[in-house]
Amino acid sequence: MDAAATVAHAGGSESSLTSLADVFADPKAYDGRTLTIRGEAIGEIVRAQGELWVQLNDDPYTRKSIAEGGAAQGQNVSISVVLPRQDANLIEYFGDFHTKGDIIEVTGRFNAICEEHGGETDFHASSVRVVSRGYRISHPLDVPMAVASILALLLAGTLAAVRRHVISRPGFKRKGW
Amino acid sequence: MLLRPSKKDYAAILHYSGQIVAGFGITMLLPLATAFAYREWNMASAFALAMSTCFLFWLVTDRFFYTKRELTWFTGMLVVTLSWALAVTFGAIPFRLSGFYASFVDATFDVMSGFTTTGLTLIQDLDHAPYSLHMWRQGLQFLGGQGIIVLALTFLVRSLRGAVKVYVGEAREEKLVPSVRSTAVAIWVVSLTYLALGTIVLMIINLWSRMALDRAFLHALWISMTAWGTGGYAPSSLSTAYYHNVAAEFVIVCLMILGAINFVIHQAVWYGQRRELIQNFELRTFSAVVLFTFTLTYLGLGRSDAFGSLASRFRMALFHLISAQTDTGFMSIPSFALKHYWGDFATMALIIAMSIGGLACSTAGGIKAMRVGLAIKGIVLEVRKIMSPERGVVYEYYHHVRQHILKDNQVKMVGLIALAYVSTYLSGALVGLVYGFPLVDSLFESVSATANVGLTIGITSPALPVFMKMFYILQMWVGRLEFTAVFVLAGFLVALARGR
Amino acid sequence: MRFSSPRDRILGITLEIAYCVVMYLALFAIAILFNILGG
Repeated sequence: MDAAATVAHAGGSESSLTSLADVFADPKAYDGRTLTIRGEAIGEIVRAQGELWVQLNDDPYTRKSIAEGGAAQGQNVSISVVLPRQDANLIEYFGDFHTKGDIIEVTGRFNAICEEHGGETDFHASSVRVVSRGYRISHPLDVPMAVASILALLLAGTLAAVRRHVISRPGFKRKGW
Repeated sequence: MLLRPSKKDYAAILHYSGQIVAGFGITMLLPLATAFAYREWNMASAFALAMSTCFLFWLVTDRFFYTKRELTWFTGMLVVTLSWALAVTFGAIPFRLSGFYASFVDATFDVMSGFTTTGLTLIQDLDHAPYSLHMWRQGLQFLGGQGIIVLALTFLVRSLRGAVKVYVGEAREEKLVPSVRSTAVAIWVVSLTYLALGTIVLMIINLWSRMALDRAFLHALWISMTAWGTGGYAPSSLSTAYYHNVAAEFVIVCLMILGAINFVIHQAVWYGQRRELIQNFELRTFSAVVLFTFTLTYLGLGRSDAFGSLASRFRMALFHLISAQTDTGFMSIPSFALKHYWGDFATMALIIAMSIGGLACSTAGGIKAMRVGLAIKGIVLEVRKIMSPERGVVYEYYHHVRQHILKDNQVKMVGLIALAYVSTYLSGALVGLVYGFPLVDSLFESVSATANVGLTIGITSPALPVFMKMFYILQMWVGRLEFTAVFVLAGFLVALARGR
Repeated sequence: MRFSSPRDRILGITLEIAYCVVMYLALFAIAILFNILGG
């Protein structure tokens, strides 16, 4: 590897973290460049087109998702990351309602329109690092809402039963119950 | 002199609406079951509350407004509008209680977007949403494809004649088979068959992609629901890009096209009249429109040089053009890629495709291929009349299961409704401009809302001004009801205001 | 209601999917045409 390429590579991977929101706001400025991004691994690893893909989210929910009781702060900011084969099993937890995914940091090339992958928008990761491990999220029961819902069901059920009884009485003229 | 409903008519409207709302409540059983399966207890409470609200409403209307009175065309349409308003309100309860929507307006936006099979969304943190919430969102678009009225016909309405009037109020002008009840059954058979087929094939693909068994199934089911319903909701913020799979996209393309085909055609073809696929005038019109809009899209992408190879250009053009034409709204690219790389020409091609939409009496939206075809025939007819001898009689025909003669009244209505659509498209664009959005973006988003598409160039977001959200809600609803029921509602309100 | 045999339905579904495939091929042909013409 010649000196110029080494410098360019080192410069790219040691540069500060880029936020995905910045990239999406001005994709042409970042297209084809080597970046380092950090975010939560979401869903699962998907095997397609001979590659291993993972969805990476870099938004306010990466710190605290609504699933964990966080506040509503806009829509998700997500990108598809092509993982190096050998690094795929570094990721243990994937985010959804029940799980907080691993926070991973990937360095690689951002492609607004990737010709290798049928024109998709993707991120070819050359290195993956797990920053913090994910975990199962516990959801405390909202007792007032549970009680209210049971009461509401009981009310509806009771009235429906009363209605059935009133209607099926012999000689009853159908006119409301 | 405008008609006003009598007291007995009000009772009938409330009575029938109550029944439809109860049917709507029953559909919440599916997400409720999902909540139990995944131990999402708070969501289970939310759905139980919403269901109870629906049933309580029905019980009250059944108690105080019971009537055997038949509906008229007028009151039937009022039932449609009232049922919609109620379903959207009650359906928003689980959304609001989930915590994934910033306000009740946002929650109703997504129910409206779900039930009209639009697909624009204001949900926050979709990627961490509960499975039962996904089931409700996706399910709403599958149900919405059938129509709220088919729900009613399926579950509860005893008066079949009244049911016909409600059915027509929701812009389903065709009777597929002699009885309205069996029409509803026929629609369900077709929808459930393709839902099952789509789910099976996509599940196999998902398993091949190494997804876990339950997720492979759920994703397959959810995507099939909204592909067939031409809705566009997806369980991931990456939409269909999540699967990175051209085979899956092909299956989805097939589901979208099939969902956009007139139920009458499905019926004919499934009951032995297979030639209908070739002879049907509306399907021919639709095919020609697709060839045209695809050509424009493909040309446009060449012009903007967005894609470097035939493979990627064709894949993305095809998927997004069909998604636009069938008014589905799935995207295998992020909105910013559309906005920054596709260029005005290709974007305009998508706008044209969206504005025309799919076939009548299907899950798709837009002006509809039927109207486009009839309008063209109407013009041909006028030209022929002028060019014929003064005393000659000129007719135009079209084949739709049977041969039909083109009538003047039909041409008139087609023209008026098409004009109403275009006016709505432009009004929404104007609103976007007022709020500072660029012209192409404003027009794109407005057409997307009115034609119930769901493709977004980036305008729709929770941060959108409330007025714009409400305007889009109105556009989605008006587009879904194809204007007639809305005009009737307006007439009713005017009559109310004028007094007896 | 007219009677529909399972055979009718299966044939119907097959033909409808065939329509989708034909549509797909037609659009592909358009793409290839432009590729050749340089559009």
